[in-house]
Parts: sequence; C-alpha cells; structure tokens
Amino acid sequence: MSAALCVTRLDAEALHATVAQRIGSEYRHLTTVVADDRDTNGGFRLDHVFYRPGQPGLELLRVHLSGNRPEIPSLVPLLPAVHWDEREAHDLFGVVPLGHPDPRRLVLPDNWPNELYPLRKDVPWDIQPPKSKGQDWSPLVAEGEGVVRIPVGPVHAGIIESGHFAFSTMGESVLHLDLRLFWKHRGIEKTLEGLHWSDAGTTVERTCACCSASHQAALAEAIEQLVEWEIPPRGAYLRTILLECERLYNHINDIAAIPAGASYAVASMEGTVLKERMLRLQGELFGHRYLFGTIRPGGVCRDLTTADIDRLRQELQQIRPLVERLGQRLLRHPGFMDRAQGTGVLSPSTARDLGAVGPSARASSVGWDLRKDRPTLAYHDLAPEVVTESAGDVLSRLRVRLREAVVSFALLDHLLVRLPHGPITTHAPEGAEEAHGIGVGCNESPRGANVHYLELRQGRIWRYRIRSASFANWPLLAEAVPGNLIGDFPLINKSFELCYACCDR
Amino acid sequence: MTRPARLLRRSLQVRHVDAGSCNGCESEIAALLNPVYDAQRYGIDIVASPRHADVLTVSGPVTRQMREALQTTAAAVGEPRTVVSVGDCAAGRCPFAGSYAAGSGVDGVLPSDLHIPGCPPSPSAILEALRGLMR
Repeated sequence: MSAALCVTRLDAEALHATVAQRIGSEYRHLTTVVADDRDTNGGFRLDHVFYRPGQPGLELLRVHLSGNRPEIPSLVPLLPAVHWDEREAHDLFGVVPLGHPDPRRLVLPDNWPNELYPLRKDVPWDIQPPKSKGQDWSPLVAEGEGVVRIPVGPVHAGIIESGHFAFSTMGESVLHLDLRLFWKHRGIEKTLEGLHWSDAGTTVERTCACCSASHQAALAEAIEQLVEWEIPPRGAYLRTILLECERLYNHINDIAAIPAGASYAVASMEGTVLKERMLRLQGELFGHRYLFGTIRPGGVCRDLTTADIDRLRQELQQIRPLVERLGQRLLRHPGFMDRAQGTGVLSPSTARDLGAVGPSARASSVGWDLRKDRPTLAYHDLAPEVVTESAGDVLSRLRVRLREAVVSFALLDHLLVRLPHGPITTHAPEGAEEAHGIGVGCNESPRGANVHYLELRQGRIWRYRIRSASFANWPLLAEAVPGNLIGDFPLINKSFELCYACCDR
Repeated sequence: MTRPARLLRRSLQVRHVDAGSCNGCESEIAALLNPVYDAQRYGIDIVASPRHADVLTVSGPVTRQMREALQTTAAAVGEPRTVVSVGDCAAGRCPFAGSYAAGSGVDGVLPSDLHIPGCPPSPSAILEALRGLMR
C-alpha cells in the first residue's frame, strides 16, 4: 500500500460516527467502492474514499461485510452524495443499503434477472442471462388532477446520448423530474478485471471521448501512486497541457450548446466552429481529435516539438479573443439573457449536500476544484484561480465556463512557455510489473472530479471503479429543473452538459 | 441492401441512435451540422423523428438495455430504409464488446447496409459515406 493512502478499518456500527466526524473536519467524499473479497476473507469490502483540501493523502474508511448476502445501514441520511453509489453497489454486488430512501435498480438493464450480481467474481464477464422480468423500473411521478406525465427518451430528437427523462408537469411547469440513465452501461469495470495494468489504457480512455484525457490521467495516477513511480517534469507538464486542452474544447462546446438550447443559432454556430478548430489542433499535435492514446502510466505518449509549441501557442492566441467575443455576444443579448437568468437554479446547499462537482458546483458558490484542493502534475507550480458564481442558474454555469476558459488559455500559455526539457516518460520502477495493492487517481475534468480506484493483484486488475463527475452531477439536474417551464429543459440540461457515457460506463 | 440512390439523390434525411457509444461518434456526427462541414448544403439533414428519416445511423456496441429501443426506432423508419453503423464499437470492435452488458455490435440486431470505420470516424469520413448513399 502506498503512503498516499491511509486505510482506517471500521466496523459497520462505527462507520456513521466516523463519517460524521470527517465531514465535520472538512473532509470531502471522493468515491465509494465495493469489491468482492470472498476468496481471501469470506466477504465484501466497502471503501469510502475521502480527501481533505490541501492534503495530498487520501483516507479510505473501510468496512468488511461478511457473508454472501451483505447488508449495511445506508449512509445516505448522513452523506446524500453516496445515494447512487449505494444503489450501484446493490445492483452489481448485492450489497443491500438498509434504509436507503430510493432502493430502485440503477445500473442494470430492465430485463436483467434479480439476484444476479455481475461484478461478483463467480459471475463470468460474458454472461448473457435470458431476458427476465427483472426489477421493473418505474419512475417517481407527481400525482393529482391536471398532472401530465411526459416520458422522453432513451432516443432523443437531437444527436445526443441515450437516456430517459420522466417529467411530471402541470401546464407548462415541471413539478418533478426523474431520471433513468445507464442505457449505455457497457460493463467497462468488469472488462478491465484480469487485464495487466499496462493494457488498461485503451479501455479506460473509451469510457468517454469528451473526458478521455482526464480518465487516462486518473488511471496513470492510480498506478504511479501504487508503485511509487515518479514521472519526469516534462511528462507532467505535457499531461497538464492535455488536461487543459480537454477542458478548453469542452468548455467551448458547452458555451456553444447553451445558446442552442435558447434557439440562438448564430452564437451556437460560432462556438461549434471554434470547437472544431480545437479538435483539429488536437488531432494534428497530439495524434487524436479526442486525445485517445495520449497519456499512459509513466508520462505521456507524444512529445511536442518547438514548432508544435509555437503552433499551439499561436493558434490558442487566435482562438482566445474569438471565445471572449462569443461570450460578450451572449451576455449582451437581451433575449438570451432573459432565457438564461434565473433559469434552472441549483441552490448552494443542495449542491453541497449532494456532492456537486465541477462548473455546476462552482456556479452555485461551491468553490471545489481538485486543481487547487489536491494539486498534482504542474498544478503544483501553477495553481489556477478557482472561478465561482453565486446565482446557480443557467447564466452562472455559462459565466463559470467563460471565465474558466480564459483561465485555461492563460494557464496553457504559461505551461507551453515554461515546458521543462527532458524525457516525457520513464520506465516503471522495479516490481511494478507484479504490483499488488490499491491506488486512487483523481483529477478535475471539464465536468469536475473524475475518480478512479484501482486494485491490482500480481500486476493484474482485480477491481476498477470509475466515479465520474457526471455520475456525481446527474442527480442535481433533477433538483434544478422542477419549477421551471418544460420548454427550458433543454437549456438547463445543456448548462449542466453532463456525459451519459462517463456515468453509465 | 436497399438501394436508395435514385430516390435520394438530392435529399438524405438521417436519424441517429446512440446504442452505447462513448459520445465520440455523436460529437463527430453533430459536427456535420457546424458551418465547417455544413452537410445541409448537400441535402443531408439530421431529423428529429425516425418517421422522417431515410437513413438510420447507429453508434455503440448495442448494449443490452438499448437493444429494444434501437429495434423499435429502426422499425419506425419508413421503407426503404438504410442502416449505417458508425464507428468501431458498432462493428463489435471495442474492448468491452461481448461483456454482460455491452452487446457486440449492430450485426445480429439489425441488418446494416454500410459501416463507417474509425474510433471515432472523422466528420469528413461520415460525410463522404453519407454522400456515397446519394450517388
């Protein structure tokens, strides 16, 4: 076990008091992981991972759950942010959260049989059970005279990912929204099991194209932490450059998508051109438009030449004023402002309680950013300003992205100017091939904290869990929509701009 | 294979279904409508309903949960229809193909007429393939 992780073993009774104490001491929840340890100690392992801003180490609060039908009192009343984690653990491992306020199926398909838990070790990776009635999912709806239910999806009218929204409406107003996601659940975590860590990259990076660099960096950090592998300064800087390029093109995408939700086509089109320009630049300089195959444990896969650096700096210097002009165009448009202001409000207390991350949190005064709170890579040297807004509406989420884009442009220029000389990668330390233990990698993706929990046995993956920023933030959408007009849903949805693929895995 | 060329020489209406992609294919298909690629100048458009479509594009390995939704959407497209699988996942070439949830591509779920390879295929490649259906 690496020095970066501190494991605190608890029994189930002590867990609640300890979590309450950690929350009271400003610790923040990162991820919750269940693993099947029945072969070694006759039960399951539950790890709640916390960090404390300003401290590099992570704490794992660990509970051993014995037997084949483990149960544990739900932590949701104390830590609402784990409500989906507990439902997922129930679906995939059969760990029952006693007293969970919403114990419906979350991850598994509707026609999946009950009591078949695919992430248990005695269930084969490629099991294809016949269609079963399963646990029929039914939405939570409002009832009463005049209430109309509007189901939308999984196939949507636009070119967007698949998911289902169950609206309860009264007239034009949304009374309640329930989500049914995980239509795209691909079993990525189980797919990784058994692979050697050095082969995991091609799978992990395909969790989500739009957050690919962040996922690759989280995998790399988890392994580097576990085997105490120091990466060279140039590799760390280049990895930071990739993460900031990813943030920038995603923020530009979102800045373009928000006016599309308000039928402001000219501004939206202007933004899509800038996104394309970023993607082409990435394809040219990093070898892939969505940055697949760019980050691996030990460093990065491709160096930038002096000419590449000049090209990147020049291009970014040209794109920057165009993004700023687009921002001004939006903020000065009375019709757009009327749509964006006061729409889809997420209150700071809801954001904090439900564990919001990324721009969606920062637009509601919750100034959490792993780049500052737990700096790694070049963020040690160049801590970026944390941008917050307070209204928590569509406009605030747009403003956060506009301001963060400006910060990223400046950061990228600094990184490119100060790029250290030397190698971009190093060899793995002795024994890494056969490494054994747990590593946790996390970084601030364009949408917030992506957290990867990796467990190796003799160099091969035993358990992998990806808790993405979108997984953390999807439940917030359901909080921000009620009370708004149903016609504003696309606008509110785009202001969160969450990934389905990242969430569903 | 349906042969829509004579019917669809000047107009191709496309409906897209994401059957479990990483969003890379969606991002590249969406790029067809930006001013850089501007597929509409060729008479290609993405439509909101399968009932309006000539062509169904499908991305992703067709997850267990999306299988029925894909089949229902395909059945809603009027005949003659053309099914185009977009990206390597849709051809079953992805690391998770065959898992308990992922499915293993469009084949076996729907007869597909054309496959566009790539991870993801570039907007130019998708545009070229769709224009090929109009010749």
